[in-house]
Amino acid sequence: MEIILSLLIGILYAGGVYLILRRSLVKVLIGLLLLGHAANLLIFTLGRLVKAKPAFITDELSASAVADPLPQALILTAIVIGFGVISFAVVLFKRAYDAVESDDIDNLNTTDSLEA
Amino acid sequence: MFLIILISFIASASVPLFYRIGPKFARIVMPAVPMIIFLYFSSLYSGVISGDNIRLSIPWFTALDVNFSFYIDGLGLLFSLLISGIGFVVFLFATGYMKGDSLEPRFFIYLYIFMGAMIGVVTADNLIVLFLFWELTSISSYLLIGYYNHQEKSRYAALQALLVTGTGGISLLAAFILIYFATGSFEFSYIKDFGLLSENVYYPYIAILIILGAFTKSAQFPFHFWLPNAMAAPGPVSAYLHSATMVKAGVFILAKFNPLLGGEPIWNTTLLTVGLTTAVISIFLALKQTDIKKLLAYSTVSALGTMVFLNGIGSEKALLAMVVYLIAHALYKATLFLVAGTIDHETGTRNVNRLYGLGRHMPYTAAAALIASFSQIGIIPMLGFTGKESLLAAILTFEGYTFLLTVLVFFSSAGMVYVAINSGLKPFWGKTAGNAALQVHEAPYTMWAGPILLGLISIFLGIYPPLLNNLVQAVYNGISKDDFGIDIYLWHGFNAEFIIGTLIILAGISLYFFRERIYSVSLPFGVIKYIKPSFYYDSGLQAIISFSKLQTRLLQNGYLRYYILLIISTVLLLAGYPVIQNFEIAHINSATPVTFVEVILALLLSISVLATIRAKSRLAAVVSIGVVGYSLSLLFVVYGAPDLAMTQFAVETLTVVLFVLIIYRLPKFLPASRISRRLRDGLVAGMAGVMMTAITLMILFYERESELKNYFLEKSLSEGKGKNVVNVILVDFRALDTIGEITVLAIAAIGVFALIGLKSREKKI
Repeated sequence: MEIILSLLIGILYAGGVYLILRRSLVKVLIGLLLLGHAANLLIFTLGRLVKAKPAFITDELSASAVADPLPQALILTAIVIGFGVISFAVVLFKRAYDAVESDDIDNLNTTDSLEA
Repeated sequence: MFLIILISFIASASVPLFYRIGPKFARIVMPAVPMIIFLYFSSLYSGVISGDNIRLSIPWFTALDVNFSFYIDGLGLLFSLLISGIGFVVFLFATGYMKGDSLEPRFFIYLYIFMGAMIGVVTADNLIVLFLFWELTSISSYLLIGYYNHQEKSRYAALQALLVTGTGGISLLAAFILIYFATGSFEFSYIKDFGLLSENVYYPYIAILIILGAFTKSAQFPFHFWLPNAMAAPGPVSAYLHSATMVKAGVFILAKFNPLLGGEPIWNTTLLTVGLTTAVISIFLALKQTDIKKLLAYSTVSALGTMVFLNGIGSEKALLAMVVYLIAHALYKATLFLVAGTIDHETGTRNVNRLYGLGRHMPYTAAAALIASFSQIGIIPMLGFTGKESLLAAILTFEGYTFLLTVLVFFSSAGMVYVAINSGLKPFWGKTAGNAALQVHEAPYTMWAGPILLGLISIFLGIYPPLLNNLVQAVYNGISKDDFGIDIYLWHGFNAEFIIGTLIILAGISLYFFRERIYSVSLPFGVIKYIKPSFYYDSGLQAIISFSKLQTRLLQNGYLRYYILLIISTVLLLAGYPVIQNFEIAHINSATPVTFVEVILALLLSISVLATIRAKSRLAAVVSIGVVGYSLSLLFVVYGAPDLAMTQFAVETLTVVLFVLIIYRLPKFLPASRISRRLRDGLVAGMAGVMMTAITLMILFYERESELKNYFLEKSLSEGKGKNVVNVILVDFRALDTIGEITVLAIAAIGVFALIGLKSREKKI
C-alpha cells in the first residue's frame, strides 16, 4: 500500500506543479490546493501507516499498534493553515479580477498602465 | 582610550544637537573634538617614545579571536597625531568654508565619522577591527566626495572611489584571514612576534593582497585615477581625506606590515617599481593640469608613490626618509589644499591661469600658501627640505640602478617644485588691476589660522628636529627589523644631496617658465584612451551592468510561471541527481496489505486529479478538486486518523463553497495554451512527481521507530489529561503553535473581511 500511496503523492505533486504553471490565476490557486494535499499526504505516509488504530489512550495500549499521533497533529495544523491561505488568496483573486477584469496573470503585470 | 576612539562617533551623532542649540555654538564646539583627541594623543607621546606601547582590549567575538583591541606604537601615534591635528585645522577651516551651505550639519556628520574611522584604522590592533574601520573610511569618503550630490560628476567620482578602495578592502580582508591561517591570531601585536612570514606557504598571497589593498587606498598606479576625480569633493575634504590622511592609510598599512612581509623580492620589488612608476607618471600628468585642485591631487599621488617606493627600498635611510617625507607632505599638502579651497571659495574659480594677484587681498592666506609651497619646493629651513634631503640620501645609497633612480626622482621632484609654484605662489603674485571680477576679500580667520599654524609647525620641526627625532625613532623601531639610531638634523653641509636638491629647484622653476610650452604639447589622446586605467574601469563597470541587465531579463522576466518553472527545474536538477544516484528499489518491510477500498480510493483520487487538470470550466475544476479532498480524508479514516479526516472534510467543504461562491460567475477558462508549452510544463510536472515518489520510497525504505510517539502516548494522559493524543498534542504540548495557527487564521479572516468590505464601500460610492 505504501507504494500506491507514493504513486499518489507523485500524481498530486505533478498535478499541482502543472497547474501552478498555467496562466489562469484560478488554475494556479487550484494547483496550490493540490500541492497542499500532496504535502499532507507525504507527511502522513512518512509517519508510517498503521491501519484503523487511532491514537487514543485505551486500557490495553500497545505503542506499536496505534498510529503515530505527531504527524497527524502536524498535518492538522497544515490543513487549517492551508485553508486560511487559500481562502485569503481566493478573495484576493476576486478583488484583482474586479479591478483588472481578467484572470490572466500576464495582464496583472501591467495594472499600472490599465488604471486611468 | 576607548572613549577617545568613540568620541568622534559620539560627536557625529550629536551634530544635529549642536545645530539645534545654534549654528554659532556648533561652529565653536565642533573643532574642539579633534583638539581633544590631539591633546590626548600628545599626552601619550613621552610614553610611546620610551618604548612603552599601549594596548587595550575589549572582548567581542572571542571565539573568532575578534576583539576590540587597540595598540598604540610609534607609527600609530604619529598617524593619530596627524589625523587629529590636521583634523582640528580642517574642522576649523570647514566651519568657515561650509558656512551657510544648506546641508552643513550633514557634512560634519560625515567628517566626524571619517575621523573616527581613521583613528580606528591607525590604532586598531585586531586586524578584523582594522578592516572594519578601513571600510568605514571608504564609506565616509564616498559620502564626502559625493557631498555635492546634485552634480553628476560628484556622484560618479564618489562611486569610483568607493568601488576602487572597496576592492582593496576586500583583498585586505582576504589577506588578514590568510594571516590568521598562518599565525592563528588576528591580534597584530601577537602576530608581530612571529617575525618574517616569508617561510609560510601563504606568504606570496598575503603580500600581494596587502599590496593590493594599500595600492587602491593610496592611489598607486594603475589605481591612481580615482584620486584626481575625487577632487569633486568640497575643499576641506580634499585636504583632509585625499592628501593628509586617508590616502596615507595605504602607506600606513605597508609600513605596518613591513616587519612581517618585507625583505622579499615580491614585496620590495613590487613596491619599488610601482611606487616609482606612480611618482613619475602622476607628476607627468600633473604638468598639464590647470585646475588647481587636480594639480595638487596629481602631485599628492606622486608623493604617495615616493613613500611607497621608499618603503620598497627598505633600507634604514629609506624608511627614515619615508617617515619624514610623510610628515612633511601631510603638513604642506593639507595647507595647499586648504588654500586652494579658500581661493575657490572666494573667487569661484580653480583655474590657475586665471588666478593672479590675490596676495594683496588675502595676505594671511598668501602667507600660509607661501610657507607651504616653500616646504614642498624644499627650501631650507622647512621640514620639506629635510624630507627631500633624506629622500635623496636614501636614493644615493641604494645599490643598483642608482643612476636611473636618481634621474626619475629628479624628474618627479622637479615636478613637485613646479606644482608648488603653480598652485601655491602664482595665484598670489602680481596685481589684480583690470580684473574687476576678482573683487576678493580675505577669508574669515577660521580659514587662514589653521593653514598658518601648520606652516609654522613645518618650520619649527625643520629648525628644531629633536621633537621629531624621538617620534621618528619610535616609528622606525616599529616598522623595521633592524636597530638604527636616528638623528635628524637640518644642515648636512654642501654634500651631494644639497647640490642635487638645488638643481631640482632650478629645474622646477624652469619647468614653470616653460609652462605655456607644456600646455601646448598635445598628447595622442586616441592612444592614451586605451592606456588609461580609468578606461578599463569604465568599460568594466559597463560590462557588469550589461551582464546584470541580461541576467535580470532572463531570470526575472516578470512572468510568474517562469519563476516557478525555474525554481522547480533547479530543485529537480539539484535534488534529482542524488536521488538517481542513490535510488534503490524499496524493499518495504512489513508493508501494509492492500485492500479493495483503498484501491478504489486511490483510483478515485488519481482520476479526479486528472479531471481537475483537464477541466474546461472553473466549476468542473472546483468539483473535481473537492473529490480529491474527500478521497484524501477517506484515506485518513482508513489509516487511523479520524481527527484529520474530520478536519479535511470540513475544510474541503468550506473551500469548495468559497470557490463556487466567488468564481462561479466568471467566464470560461482562457483558451488553452499552445500544445508545446503544455508538453513542456507537463514534462517538468511529471518529473517533479516522479522525483517526489522516488524520494518517498527511499525514505520509506528505512525502518523508523519514533521515540516521540512513545513519549506522547505515555505522557498524554498523565500530563495532558486527555485520551485523544492528537488533540492533546495540539492544545497542550504544542499549544503555542496552535495559538500561532489561530492567529494566522484570524489575520486571514480579517484580510478577507477587509477585502470584501472594500468592495461594498466602493459600490456605495
